[in-house]
Amino acid sequence: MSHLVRATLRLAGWLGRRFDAAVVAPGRPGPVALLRVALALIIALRLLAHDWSLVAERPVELTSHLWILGWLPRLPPSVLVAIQVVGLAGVALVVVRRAPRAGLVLSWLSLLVLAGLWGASGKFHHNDLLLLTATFPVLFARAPNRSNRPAAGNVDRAARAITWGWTPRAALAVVGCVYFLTGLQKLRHSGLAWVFSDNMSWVLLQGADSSPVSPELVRALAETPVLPRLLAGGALALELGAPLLLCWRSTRLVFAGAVTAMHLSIWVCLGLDYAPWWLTVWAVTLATGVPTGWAALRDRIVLRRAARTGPRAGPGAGAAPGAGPASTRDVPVAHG
Amino acid sequence: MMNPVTRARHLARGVAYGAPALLLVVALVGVDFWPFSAYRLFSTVRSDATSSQRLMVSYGDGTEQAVSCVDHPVLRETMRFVPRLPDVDTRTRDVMLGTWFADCNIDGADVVRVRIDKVDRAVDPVTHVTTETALTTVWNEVL
Repeated sequence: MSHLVRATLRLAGWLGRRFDAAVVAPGRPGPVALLRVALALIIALRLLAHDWSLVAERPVELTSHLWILGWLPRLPPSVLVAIQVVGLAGVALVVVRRAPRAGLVLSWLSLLVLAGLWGASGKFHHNDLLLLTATFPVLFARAPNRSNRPAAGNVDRAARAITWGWTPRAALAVVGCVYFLTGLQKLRHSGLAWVFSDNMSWVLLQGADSSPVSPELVRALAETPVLPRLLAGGALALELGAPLLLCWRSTRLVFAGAVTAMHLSIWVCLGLDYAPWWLTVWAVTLATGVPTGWAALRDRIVLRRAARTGPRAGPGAGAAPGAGPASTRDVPVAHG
Repeated sequence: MMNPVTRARHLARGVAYGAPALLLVVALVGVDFWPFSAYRLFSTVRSDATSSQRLMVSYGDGTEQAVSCVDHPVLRETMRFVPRLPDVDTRTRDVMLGTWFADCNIDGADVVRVRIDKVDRAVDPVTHVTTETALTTVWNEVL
């Protein structure tokens, strides 16, 4: 028994060390720059989505003290617009790559404050939450500068490379965690009845009038015997499986496509716009690497062509015609 | 002084492990404190029955009107504070009512009474028509 426990502990320790090594492994500045620009652009879309000055018309007596800003006196419209402008200026800094880190911090703070104030009207708004939460680790990513030139110290360059590696991975972990928690709360508060009862049918029926497409279509969907349960089961499985699906590059795009379909179907059926969520998922997914599956597929195509055209025509020079594609492990191609 | 590489690794571990751990703790505790959330999105099981509270005003001539602000995107959401009305002081209540009345084009001088009704509704599974199944007055105040 003790031998089994020791073996389990050794395995857990080994897995933990592997995981930790993957977290702090160095990265390249390119993906971080891509992620920073993508997140900044989504923040810009959100900053332009509202007339934030309307918040000034809400009295303090109708303001929820969701966080420290809820205790502030009523902010005049000019201040709210100024915060919005500062945020958009921050986005511009990121896009033109002049002080991109400071620019992202500015735009993030701007949306954090404005969305928080807007949401302090009694209803907690989740629309911007994934974007803000996933952007948080990226705020730590340092931009390439003089220290990346050969004259700079190796130690500083190594430290920057570590930052470029962990920040997109941490953003990915945050995205996976948030989706997992949304699924976990469904199980926690409702159990499997969330899937196997008439829950989704009633969700669709009660929200059908808000559908921007066709309330009749939504009601028809709700009345089908199986589809609502399939939708509920698929959504729950997707949310609970998020950490695993985001763990491997080959399934990240599947996850991004699936959550996009889920959020778009929510918009079609209930009129709830969660575009910032799926846009954030795409930004983080694409920045953390093109899946090896794509590269492997490309390599297989090259190998097949090589097998057809002859032994000296391409990278699959050793493959015999008709022998099929070589294993992707044999292809000396670096993936991201 | 700490080596920059060691410092970078400490920061990496702090944020990469700390952020998901914090999200998990907040969700399990069940706190909604911006920008932290328990992420209880559609987490309860729905049925054919729903319940809500409705603010009503009565005029001197005996007519009544529901107060439902729908135009202002921010004030519309403050209607969620209606259940707080019985517990707030008179000054706060007057500010809350005055804000909603103004947005709903209600002249507060004409209003003689306000009340909160708890309305239970049910959706007919065949016709999809929503009907009120029960009405309970939870607060009634003469102005």
